[in-house]
Amino acid sequence: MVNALRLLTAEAEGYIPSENINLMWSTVVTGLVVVFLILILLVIILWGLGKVMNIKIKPKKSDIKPAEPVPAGTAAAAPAAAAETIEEYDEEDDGEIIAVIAAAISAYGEAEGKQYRIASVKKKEKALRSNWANAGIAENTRPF
Amino acid sequence: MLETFWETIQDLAKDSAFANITLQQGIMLLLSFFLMYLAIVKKFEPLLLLPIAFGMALTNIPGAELYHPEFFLTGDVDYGQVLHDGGLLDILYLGVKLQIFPPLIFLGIGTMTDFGPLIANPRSFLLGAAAQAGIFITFLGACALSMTGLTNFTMEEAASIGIIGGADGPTAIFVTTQLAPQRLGSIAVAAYSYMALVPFIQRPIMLALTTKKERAIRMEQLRTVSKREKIIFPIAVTILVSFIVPDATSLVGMLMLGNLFRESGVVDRLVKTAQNELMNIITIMLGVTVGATATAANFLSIETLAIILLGLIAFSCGTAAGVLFAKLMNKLSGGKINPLIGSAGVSAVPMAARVSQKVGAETDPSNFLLMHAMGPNVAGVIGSAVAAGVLLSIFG
Repeated sequence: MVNALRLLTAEAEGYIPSENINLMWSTVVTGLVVVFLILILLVIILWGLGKVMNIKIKPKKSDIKPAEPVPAGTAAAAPAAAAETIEEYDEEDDGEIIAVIAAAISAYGEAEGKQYRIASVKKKEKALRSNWANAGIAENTRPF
Repeated sequence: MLETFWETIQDLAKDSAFANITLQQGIMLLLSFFLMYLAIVKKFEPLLLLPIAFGMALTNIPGAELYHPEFFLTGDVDYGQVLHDGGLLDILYLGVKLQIFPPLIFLGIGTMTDFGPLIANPRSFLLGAAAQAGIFITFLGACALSMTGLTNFTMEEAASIGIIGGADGPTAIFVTTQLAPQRLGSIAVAAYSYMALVPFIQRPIMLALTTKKERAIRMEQLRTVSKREKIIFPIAVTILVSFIVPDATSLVGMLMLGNLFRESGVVDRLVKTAQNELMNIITIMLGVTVGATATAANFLSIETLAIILLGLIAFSCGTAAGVLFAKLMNKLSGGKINPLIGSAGVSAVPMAARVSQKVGAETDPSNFLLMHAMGPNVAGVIGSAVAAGVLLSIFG
């Protein structure tokens, strides 16, 4: 490879471009081939390195399920239903938060003259990034 | 006594720059003021453009004799003469001429670069390679301009102009110092100006070459990279690249040394020095001396205008090549790669990756491409250093 480049060097000396179309094209081809060759070799090495070290690729996170729609117009009172829901779904015993959600929905329903029953409260999957990471991304993309 | 006083005043007036300035030097001073304006007010790569602009002003002050281009234009530099008769900038320029400053800048860059996204997704290397097409297309463009007789670039100058497409200032300076030192000022100014304009150059090209559906593609989250991989990476890259293209060793080797410092975790003091004090000192000296090479005789020519135009072509072609190659990879991978990350392969770290993120977020604000774009972005640094090594092997 180096010898080939040196041969091109010998050709390059003392010429101007108009007389050196061959050298011009061979420089382009050589340059692109060498750059791709080296970087492809690095891809292979890194891929092999990852395999050798038996690094497990993180399993793809399952898609975040959208919250189930809240059915309207049922008879049961919201707070009572909410209490049942807490027992059924809240693994972390976040009772206060569920109560607040239930109260908010109840207040919303009263304003419309309707009553809602909370059929399900599911915790959204944890965000992929922390607030610090989000702040970092915002900072990095701020200038535009 | 009054007579002596008057004669002294007359001598001072005769020797002053006001009496000796030429029209060309005046134009260069105005141009340097414009570049200072761009650096200070418009924040165009101020860390380097500001010292470059001031160096340009210093070198064009008549009678100051801070820099003598004639000392360095001959094949064999008389270093004794430089040290004996040279001005401040002549002596500082030795760091550029002897290829000391650009590799030291690369050392600092290495300490600040996280190659994790690249290691996690090695395919990014291909995008870093594809974007280097801008270098070679621009090389062809410079040769073609010479063939038409519009300019009189030599092959070495064409290669130096092409390397602007690497979007990597130290690499452009490194190659130009060796192949076309007389063009260093104009090539450095073009390279750093366009690097500051990356968001404006790249965005329309990215939008033109991609569909809305492609821009909305979400990529899988990158895997975690172990510390051991991060330590092996700089050693492996140095050995492989240096064995194949020895001329790229000083750039790639110093980049990887800096990165090894960072990832090893055992030389914190060296890391802090390399990425702060050393980097800042070298940046000052590199900027001022590169600016000093932009003398009126070197800079004010049709060739400089051609270099500015070719620089724009270089950045545009590199961006387009990266995006098109990413589109190809997207097709082959079954729609798993957002083509917007391809444009980040032109280096310009981290600006080009930010542009990918920004353009992607315009289509889907919750789509985060930044880390995916950092892979091709740092691969572009290695790719442009390899391309520089190839050009030096052929024309050096």
